[in-house]
Amino acid sequence: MVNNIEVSSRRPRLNPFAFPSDTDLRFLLLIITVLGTSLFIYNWICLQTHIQELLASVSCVLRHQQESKQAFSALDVKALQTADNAGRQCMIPYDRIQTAYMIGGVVLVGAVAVVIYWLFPLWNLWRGKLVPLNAEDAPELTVYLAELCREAQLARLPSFVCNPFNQAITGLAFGRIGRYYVALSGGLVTLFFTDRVSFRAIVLHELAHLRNADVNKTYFALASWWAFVIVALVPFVVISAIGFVAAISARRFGEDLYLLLDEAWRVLVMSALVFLVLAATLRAREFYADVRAAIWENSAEPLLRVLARLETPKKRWQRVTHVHPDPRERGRTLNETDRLFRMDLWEALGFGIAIGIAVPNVLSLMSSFLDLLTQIVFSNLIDWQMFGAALILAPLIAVAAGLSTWRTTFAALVRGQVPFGIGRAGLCIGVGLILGTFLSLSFDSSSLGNSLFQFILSLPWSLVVLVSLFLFLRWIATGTSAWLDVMISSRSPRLFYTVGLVMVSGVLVVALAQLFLFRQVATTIGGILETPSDLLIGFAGVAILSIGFLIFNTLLSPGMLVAFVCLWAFPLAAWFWRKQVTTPVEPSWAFLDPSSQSIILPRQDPFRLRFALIVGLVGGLVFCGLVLLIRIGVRLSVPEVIRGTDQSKLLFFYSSIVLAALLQAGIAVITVGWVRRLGSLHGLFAAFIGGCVMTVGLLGINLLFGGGIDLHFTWITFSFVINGGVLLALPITLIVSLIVHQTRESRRAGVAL
Amino acid sequence: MVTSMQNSLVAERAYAVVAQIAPEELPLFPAISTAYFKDPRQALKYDAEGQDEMLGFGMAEAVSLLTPTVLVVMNEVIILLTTGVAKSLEDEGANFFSELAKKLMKKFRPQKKKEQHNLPPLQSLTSEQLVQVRQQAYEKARQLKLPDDKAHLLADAIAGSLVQAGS
Repeated sequence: MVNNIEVSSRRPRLNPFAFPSDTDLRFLLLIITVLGTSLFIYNWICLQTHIQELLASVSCVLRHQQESKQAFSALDVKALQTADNAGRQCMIPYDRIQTAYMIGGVVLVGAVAVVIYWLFPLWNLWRGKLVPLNAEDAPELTVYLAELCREAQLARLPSFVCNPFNQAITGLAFGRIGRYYVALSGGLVTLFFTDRVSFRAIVLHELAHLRNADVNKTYFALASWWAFVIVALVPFVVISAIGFVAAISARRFGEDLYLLLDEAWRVLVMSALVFLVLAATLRAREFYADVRAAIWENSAEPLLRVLARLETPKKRWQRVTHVHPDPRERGRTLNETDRLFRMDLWEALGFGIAIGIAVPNVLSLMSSFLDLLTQIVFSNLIDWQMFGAALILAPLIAVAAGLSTWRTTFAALVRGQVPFGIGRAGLCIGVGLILGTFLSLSFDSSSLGNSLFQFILSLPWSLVVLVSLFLFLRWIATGTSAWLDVMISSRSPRLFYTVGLVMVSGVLVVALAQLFLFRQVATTIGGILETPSDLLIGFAGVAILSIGFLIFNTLLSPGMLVAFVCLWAFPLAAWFWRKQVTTPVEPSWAFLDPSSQSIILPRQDPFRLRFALIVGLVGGLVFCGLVLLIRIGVRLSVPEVIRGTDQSKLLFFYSSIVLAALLQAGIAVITVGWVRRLGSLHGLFAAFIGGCVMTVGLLGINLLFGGGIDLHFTWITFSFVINGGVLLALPITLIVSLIVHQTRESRRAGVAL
Repeated sequence: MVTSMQNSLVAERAYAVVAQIAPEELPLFPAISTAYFKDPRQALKYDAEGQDEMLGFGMAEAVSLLTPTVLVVMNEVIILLTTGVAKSLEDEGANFFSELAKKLMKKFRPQKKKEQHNLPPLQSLTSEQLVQVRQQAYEKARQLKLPDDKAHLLADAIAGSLVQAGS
């Protein structure tokens, strides 16, 4: 089989090793999928084996719910708290078991994976009948291999082993931390004498796996798959089979059988997903090893010759199940490394599904775990649950989606193109998240009730997820484009994307906790509804509660404040390094090939931070003037008896907050209309500056009119003004920014015509 | 002892044949011959096709290693010589095998490598007997599914190696 692979490279190739590779990202995805699915399976095993304990806990909770309802009706707060706490105590025995099962299951999968990973080299040596390559038997060959290792600059030399009987022409790098091997088949050894160029290309490719440090990931990925099969999938099948037989023999064909089949198809789909992600991880590493080997060779030619003699997948579906990529694709990637910077939409979808599978299980685990911590007040439980789950999952999304976005944006901008498909990748992650959540929703504790109602009621949540992730990835791309000039002028992009990802993670923790809360509201209300006519009420309930939670949680949340500041601070902070980028540069890290000319980045309008600052200050001062006038007007027109009451003071305070929010939105709109580059972020910055001035003004005027001031009041005023302002300014800014962009585009199109 | 001597003889002659018809396999020879003498059947199991590693990188096609076949055929030939040919030589009053074996054993000892090239000529193997050995080698090679041209090449090399050993 000879493939027709083009051997050409017209422009300098981008360096795929400048950013973390797809191998890393897919490996992370695999681990998430394995852990999410294992959590699901162990949650189910716990349910199957401890159903009596669960029923006892639930009946106890129901008893106390009656007391809760009575206390609520009687507006007896103390009795309500007592009843809620008693209900919480009821769940503790089952929560303990569930937590132990879920954490124990995940730990078990991890431990078995570590053991398998550790034993893999021994297995490979035994199965491949590999014997050490003896220097006495093949002196010329061993000297040559040592020379190749020196060329590869390996920190630790591998042991070369050989299966002399294996007639295939194949090499394999394997091993574990601190002990690596390169296996040569008998066929490959003969190639040393008959086709030295191909031999060299194959061995360099294997050494490239060692240099790229993907051997550990590869074998840990394989070990994770086998650990998942052995300690999660097999117990699931066994327990399901026992349950199936028991249901059949007891002639219980209804609920029990339905539940078993319902779980079985979900686990089947999840397992298939784990396998596909594993195959994708193993495929990804090959591209990078090819590129590395070609760098050492100073030419892609020898490797392309070998690739041309590889077998291509015969059927389309084999492309996703094979552990080796299509050789034609490998050849194209060798010539055009930009392909390793593109965002794959299927990968984004898979990532979304993996996270989606994990979401209900992590939430369930957090719920059980937090129930055991009696120090946490009952009313705060849900916030902690959402925050805890977001804290676990957000960094994973941020790292995987964020890094892909950084790479894609970087590659597009360096090539003078507009980053393409970033928003769509966000949508794909969103769709995956919704699908994954649906996949692992079957026995989520909050999903007791009509699942159709829950699905319908979670549609608004799904829409919010899609929009949020679309905007989130676009925001990361914006940040990358803002930092591009500075990054290009530096010796490595690592510091930039690391700091960027930390910020992105922080923002996402806050956003995700809120999204989880919305979902919880939808599923909880969906569980209460009984008839289709209740749906309308349910929708209204979901909308009102979600908006209420959003406003309530946002206004006083320090996390929200930090997240809002990060939104504009992360991209606009590049302004401080603007002097570093005045001269065109040629960064050694960006390209594989020596480029004859410096990178000419697409011309971008400058930041207008000074302008935004002035607009913010002016807006803030206008607010202070208005408040002062209102305060004087109120003092002159409203009698002391009325304006001295708590209600009047509160009314004045909240009116000031609303006015501040409106003015901040106005400030943002003016800035967006004026600033060409990153207008919406400049708008948010201006709104923030305006908000700070407004806070100072409010506190100062309050003091001026005889009011008091303390730290608590200062914080409340500051967070209300800033968070309230951003809450209003953010959607308005986005809409105005879109309109302004469209107007400019159509005007430009008119001029061009 | 006889088996060990016979194995040494087979290995020695097979090495010479491999060096002649497939020199690229020489680095593999010690490992293959050791495994072959340990368990001839197991060693031949690999003969049919290459064992492709799931994660390995290489070419789609496999080479066909001659060394295992050479060992098998040479073993067959040596057995033939020790039984059939030796018997036919009894009438002429010469113990062909013991003479040949003694000479080859000397060659196999690394300290006495110089002697290898100065062995006295073997006069006992007639041209008819060589033809018989060659034919036997050819048939065995074909039986092991070696292509016709390679089987001829191997048979010629084996016959030639015996002449060399005797000359």
